[in-house]
Amino acid sequence: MSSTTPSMTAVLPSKKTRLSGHILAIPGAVVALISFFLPWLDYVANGTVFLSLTGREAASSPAITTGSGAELFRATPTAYLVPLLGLVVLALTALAFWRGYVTEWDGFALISLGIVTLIFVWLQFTNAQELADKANTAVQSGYGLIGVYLALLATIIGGSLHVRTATERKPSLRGLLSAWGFMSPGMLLILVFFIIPVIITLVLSLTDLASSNFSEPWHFVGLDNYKRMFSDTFFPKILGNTFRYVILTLGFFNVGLALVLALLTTHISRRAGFIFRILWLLPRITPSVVYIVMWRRFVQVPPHGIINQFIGWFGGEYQPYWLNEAPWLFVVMVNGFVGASFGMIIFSSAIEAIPKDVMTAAKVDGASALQIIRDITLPLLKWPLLFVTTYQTLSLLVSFEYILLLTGGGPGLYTTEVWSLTAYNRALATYFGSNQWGYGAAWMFVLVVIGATLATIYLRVFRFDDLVAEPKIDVL
Amino acid sequence: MTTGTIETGRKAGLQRFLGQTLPYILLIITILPIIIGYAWILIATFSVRTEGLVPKDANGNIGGFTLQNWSFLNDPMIWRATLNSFTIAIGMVIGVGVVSTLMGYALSRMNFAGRKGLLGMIIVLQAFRAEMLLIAIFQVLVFIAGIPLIGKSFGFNTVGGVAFVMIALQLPLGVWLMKGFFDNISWDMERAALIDGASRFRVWWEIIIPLIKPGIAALAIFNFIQGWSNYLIAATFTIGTKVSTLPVFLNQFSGDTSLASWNSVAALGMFQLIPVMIFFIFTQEALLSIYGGGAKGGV
Repeated sequence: MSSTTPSMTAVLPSKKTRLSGHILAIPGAVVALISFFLPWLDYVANGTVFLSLTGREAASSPAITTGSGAELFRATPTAYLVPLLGLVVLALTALAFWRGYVTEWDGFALISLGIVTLIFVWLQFTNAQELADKANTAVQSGYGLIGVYLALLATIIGGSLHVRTATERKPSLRGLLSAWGFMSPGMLLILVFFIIPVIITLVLSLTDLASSNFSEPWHFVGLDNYKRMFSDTFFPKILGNTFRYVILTLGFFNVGLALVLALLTTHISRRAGFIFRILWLLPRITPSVVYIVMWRRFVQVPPHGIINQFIGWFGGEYQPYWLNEAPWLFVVMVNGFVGASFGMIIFSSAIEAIPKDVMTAAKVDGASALQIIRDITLPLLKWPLLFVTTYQTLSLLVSFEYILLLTGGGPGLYTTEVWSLTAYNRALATYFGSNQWGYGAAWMFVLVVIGATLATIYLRVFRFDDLVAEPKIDVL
Repeated sequence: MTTGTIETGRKAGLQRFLGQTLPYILLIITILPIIIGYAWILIATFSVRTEGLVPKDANGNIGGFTLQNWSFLNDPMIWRATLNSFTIAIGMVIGVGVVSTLMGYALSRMNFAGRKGLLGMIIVLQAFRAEMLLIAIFQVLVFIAGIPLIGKSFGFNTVGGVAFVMIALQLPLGVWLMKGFFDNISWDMERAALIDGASRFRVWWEIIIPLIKPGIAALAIFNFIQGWSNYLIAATFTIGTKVSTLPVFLNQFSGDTSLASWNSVAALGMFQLIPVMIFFIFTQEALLSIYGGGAKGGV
């Protein structure tokens, strides 16, 4: 079990490196602070958002009221400052990355900070007129989200800049070629089906491409799609739904129940444990349509509904359509009964891998089952727990198939509509009469950014540097 | 004294009861919805209609056993769809298996420029799910379809194209799991072989691969299930029945038929479920080793 206390491969950086790290962090932190606090400061001071920065006269000039965001941008010299800082961050990061002051990983974090900062700062200025008019809560919460994002990234970067891993020896050219030989098939697939699609999604999100203007030429519309997204009346609702869905399902089922199931099925006899596990895997391998038909049977009104039949047998009078009574309960349960099996498999194989002599020794010493679980099993499950939490958070964020089939986002307006379902509805479903690929892509791209950020944060929690310890053979 | 021993005896008895029976009780309570639900599916596939869990015939009496719901088996299209699903599932087993063992080996065992960055990228890539990239991947596939030769078998609306998309989207998980398996293998044999002058590829093929067979098996099962039952990708990137897979066929089937024949839909679902169930029963030991390292930090 010595591997649970990983050796520290990281060493403190040289003075020069540390200094360059701090210099890098300063503009990033400034940008983050400005983005985070300005909307509120402005709101408090002027009763409107951003007028002080863009200027009241500018706001009333015709170019602003009728023109595009770019014109507004040019009309206000002070507005150059913040995006300029974003650019500086990007340039400095690229330089430091290239010179080897920071590891690839830190470089990635910094570059993403820079890009996202730039996008959203630009957004603030293109949005200024509408903000001044409305200052509605949807936009405010949008900025809140961005602020949290930036603050988190700033924290990660601040932490990571202090530690630099041991300098790696330059490998020989032959070794490099051989390694890339192994990597190339996978890299090709990743390039074609990940990198390029992400870029396409980003570009699409800046256009007005839709099925209604598919045959006509489409145009770049700048950040209009993002503007529209953040000022959507239902944006706070959808955001809240997404949080609720991910947190409830993750906590109660995908991690919570999965852990309980793994502990129980490994505790009882092997054969019985196997039977329970295969039963739990049924929802995962059942076609989604059939699985949802099954759940719909549960909630139906009499005479078809199974729940109501049970209520009837026990003499209950109240037999409603349960999906409308408790939509969230069923959304979480339907997804949770599928999701729990992933964690269950990972956890039980991890528990099985704990050496038997450890358990035997504990039992000989008179430890109870609960003590064994608390003091031996759970500490050893730390890594699988983190892995499952990461993987399932990301899965839940983008999964909508079961919600689409079960409630379709209803009952009523947006009751159970989550972010990914909105993206799907806007882009691919004929929801408002036409497929709005550009607008849908904006929703999708922001979700990809959120997912990548979460993965980034989890990487820090995982203590990534320990996981990627240098291979022991570096010759040849 | 005597009371003391009785107390401890009673306490031990209670503890034994709790230790042996309580897990079963908890497991049965949590699994009840699944048992009831699948009991309904089973009953429904063989009956004219159901009220709650009770099968009813046309007159509303209990009974009404029928095999009519399984009549879809006479449709030649279902066998075509089954073949397509099988091709994609096997393609995924082989594709993800080969590519992620290659990549996992390099990332775990070789020292090269960009290694750490790539490992970080593999994790971050897990955030880029098929669901969010559908429009863009559609455009990539349409582009591939325009390339001569390759386009015929791997472009938009081909089984090969769907298989490739699925393989690619499964890679981050596959590579990360395989890396965990490679991390747990001893270095001694590999080092000896390298000193004797074997190439890296030969070491990989002749020494390392046999050692991680359990890991490869676990990944294969996982991928087979994924490929067999994935609906979204197959439905988005195919048009028409020639290339549709079993889940897509099922969805069209449920859309075509009237509400009354949901029992046929359930039967078709059973049909899709059975091979995976059989497959799983024979391979569950291997699947349980998917977390190769146990307490290690490899995953």
